[in-house]
Amino acid sequence: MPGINPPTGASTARLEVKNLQTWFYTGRGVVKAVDGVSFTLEPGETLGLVGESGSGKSITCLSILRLVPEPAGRIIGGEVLLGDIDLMQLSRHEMEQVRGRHISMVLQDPMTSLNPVFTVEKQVGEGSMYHQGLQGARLKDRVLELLRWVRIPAPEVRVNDYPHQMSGGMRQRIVGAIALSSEPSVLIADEPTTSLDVTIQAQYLRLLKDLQDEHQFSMIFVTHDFGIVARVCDRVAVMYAGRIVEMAPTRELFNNPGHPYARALIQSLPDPDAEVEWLTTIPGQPPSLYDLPTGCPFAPRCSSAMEICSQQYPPTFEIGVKEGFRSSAQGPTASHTTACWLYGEETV
Amino acid sequence: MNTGAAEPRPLLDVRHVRKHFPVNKGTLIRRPVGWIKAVDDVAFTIGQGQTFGLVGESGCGKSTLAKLILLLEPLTEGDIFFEGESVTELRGEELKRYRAGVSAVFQDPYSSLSPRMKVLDIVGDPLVVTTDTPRREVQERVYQVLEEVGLNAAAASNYPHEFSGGQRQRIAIARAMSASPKLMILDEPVSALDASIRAQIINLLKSLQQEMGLSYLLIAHDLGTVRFLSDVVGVMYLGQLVEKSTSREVFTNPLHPYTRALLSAALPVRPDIHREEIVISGEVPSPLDPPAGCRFYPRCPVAMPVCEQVQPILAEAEQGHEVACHLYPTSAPEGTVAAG
Repeated sequence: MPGINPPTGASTARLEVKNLQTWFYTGRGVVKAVDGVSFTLEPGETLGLVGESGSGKSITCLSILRLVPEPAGRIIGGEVLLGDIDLMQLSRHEMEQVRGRHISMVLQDPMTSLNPVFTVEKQVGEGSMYHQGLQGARLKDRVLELLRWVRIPAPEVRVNDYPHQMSGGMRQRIVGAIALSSEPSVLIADEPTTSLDVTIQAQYLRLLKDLQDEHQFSMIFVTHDFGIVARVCDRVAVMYAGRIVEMAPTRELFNNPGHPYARALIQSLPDPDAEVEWLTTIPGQPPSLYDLPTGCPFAPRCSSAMEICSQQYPPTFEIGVKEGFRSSAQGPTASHTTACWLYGEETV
Repeated sequence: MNTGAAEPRPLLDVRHVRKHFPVNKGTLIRRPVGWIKAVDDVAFTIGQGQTFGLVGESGCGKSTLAKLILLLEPLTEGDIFFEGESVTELRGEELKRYRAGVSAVFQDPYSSLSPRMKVLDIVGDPLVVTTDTPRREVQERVYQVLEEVGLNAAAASNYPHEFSGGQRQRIAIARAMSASPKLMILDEPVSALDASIRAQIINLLKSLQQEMGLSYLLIAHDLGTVRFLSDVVGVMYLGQLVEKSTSREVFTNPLHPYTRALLSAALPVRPDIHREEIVISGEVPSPLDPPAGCRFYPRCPVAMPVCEQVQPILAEAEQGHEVACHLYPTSAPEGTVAAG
C-alpha cells in the first residue's frame, strides 16, 4: 500500500484526535460544528460520545473519516492520528485505503445505509473484494463467514436476500458484517440502535460487545442515550455545542459528574429503577450554533455560572477520579477532565 | 393495592376490543386472504385523573389502540365506553362532544403542527371544530392555555417554524388542552425531543394533570418516562395485553417473561444497577400469522409444552396484578385441560 504503513496487527493501533475543528460555511454564517475536539481511543476500548442533536458528535466521526460534506463543511484544523499516521495528511487515494479497512462505520438507519437493489452477498463482499482482492468461491466463503460472525441464521440462504427481505435488526447486523469485513482496528458506531426496538437493541448491543471481544477492535459509540453509555462504554466524552465538556471513565461520570451540564443531564433522566416526585430539569434550550455566546455556551442555562463564564471559554481542567471509580485502563485514559471554570483552581 | 375497583365508574372503559385488518389479494376481485390482528381482545380502564401507561415494541398494536379510542379507525369487535356511554355509535353533536373530551399529542412536533397555520389557529382549532365558542373567547382560551404550558401569549401570532422542538411540543400540548378534554392520549410525547428538554415536558405533563385532573393514556417505549408518569401500566405483545398492574408492581415485580425481558433490556440510567441481562432471541413474529397458543412462546426463555397449544388469558395472579402466562395457574382458560 503506497504511502501508509498499515499498523501491523490492526488491533493495536491507537487513534488520537487532536484539536479537531470542522466548520460549515453557510449563507447564514459560519457554524463551528466541531471546535477543538481532542481525545484518544486506546486499542480495544469503547469510548462513548454523548450529546444532544447539534452537539457535533456525528461531525466529529465524519471528520475522522474525512467524509464531511464539502464544500460547505471544511476540516480547518487538527490532527487525527491512527498509529503514527496523520489521516489529515493522506492523499485521497490513501484515505480510501483507510476507510473500511482500518476504520469503519455503522450508521443509524440500516434501511438507508444498505443498497436496496443489491443482494446481501454483493454488499457484504464488496469490502473484501476491494481491500483483499478476494474473488469467486473464496469471496463467497468469506461472506458466509462474516454472516456467521454477526449471527445471521442460515447464512447460506440469507446471502441471496435483498435488504427488504430482512427485518430491521437483521439488516443492522448485515451493516455490522460489512463494517467488520476488513477487520478494522476502529469501529465507529453512530447511533446504531436508534431505529431498533428495545429487545432488538439489547440483542445488538450484546452482539457488538461479543464481536469486540472476539476481534479486538476499539469502538467510538455515538449516542444520545445515557443508558447505552452505561451498558457498553468504558469511557465517555460529553459534547455540548461542538466541544467536549467532560471526559471520564463511565462509572466515574455517572457517580461524580463534574460539568454542570453533564450533572444536570444525568439527574434529569427518568429512572426506570426509582420513583421520584419531580424530574430535575435544565432550563432553556440548546444554543443555536449560528449565534454562540462568548465564553462557555452552557453559561446561560447553568445554575452555577460565574462572571468569567460568559467572558472566556474555560480550558480543560483535570479533576480527581474518586477511588473505586477508575476504569480498568491506566494512565491518561483513567483521568477525569472537564471544561468548566468551577474547577479553575484545581491545576491546569 | 387494588386499582380501579374502588372507583364507581372509570372515565374510559375499553372492553375486549379487536381490530383486524384484512390482507387482500387479487386484482379485479379483491378478496381477503388473511387478517392482521393488530389489536386482539384488549380490555382496560382509565380512571379520572389517572395515567395508564402502555408499553410494548413497534407493531404490538399500541398505536392502533390509540386510533381506536380516538375513533380514527372503526372497531372490528368490542366496545369503548367513555363516562359510561358507548362511543362507537356516536353521531353529530354527541360525537363532537366526545372529540372535545378526548385529545391527543403525537411524537413529532415537526410534522404534527401545520406549517401554514399560526399558533392561534393551531391551538384554537379543536375548540372551533367541537364547539360554537365565539372567536373572541377562542382567542382568550388560546392565550390562557399557552401560558399554562409555559409559553408567552404573544406566541399565538407566530408560525411553528419559529419555535424549537421543545416549544413546539408545548404548542402541541396546548392544542390538545384547548377544548378542555378529560382524557389525553400521549403517543411517544417526548421521544423526538432532546435529552435536556425531555424532563421539562415530562414535568409539564405531570403538573398539568395535577392541576386539571386530566387522565392520560401514555404510549412510550422509554420505561423511565412510563414509570415516572403512570399509575397503571399495561404491557402489550402482538396485539394483546400480557400484563397489567400498578406501575410500582410492574416495575418491581414483573411476572410475565416478556415484561421481564423488556425491563432487562431497558437500559439503566445508572451503571451501578446490575440487571440480570435477559436477551430474548428472535424477533416479534408477524401479526398476520401469530403463533397458536401463547404469542410469546417462540421467544420465551421459560416456555413449556402447554404454551404452544393453549393461549393463556389475562387473569389476576397476585392481588391487583394481572398476567397472561401459563406459569401462573389462573391464566389457564376455563374448560381447557393443560395437557402437554
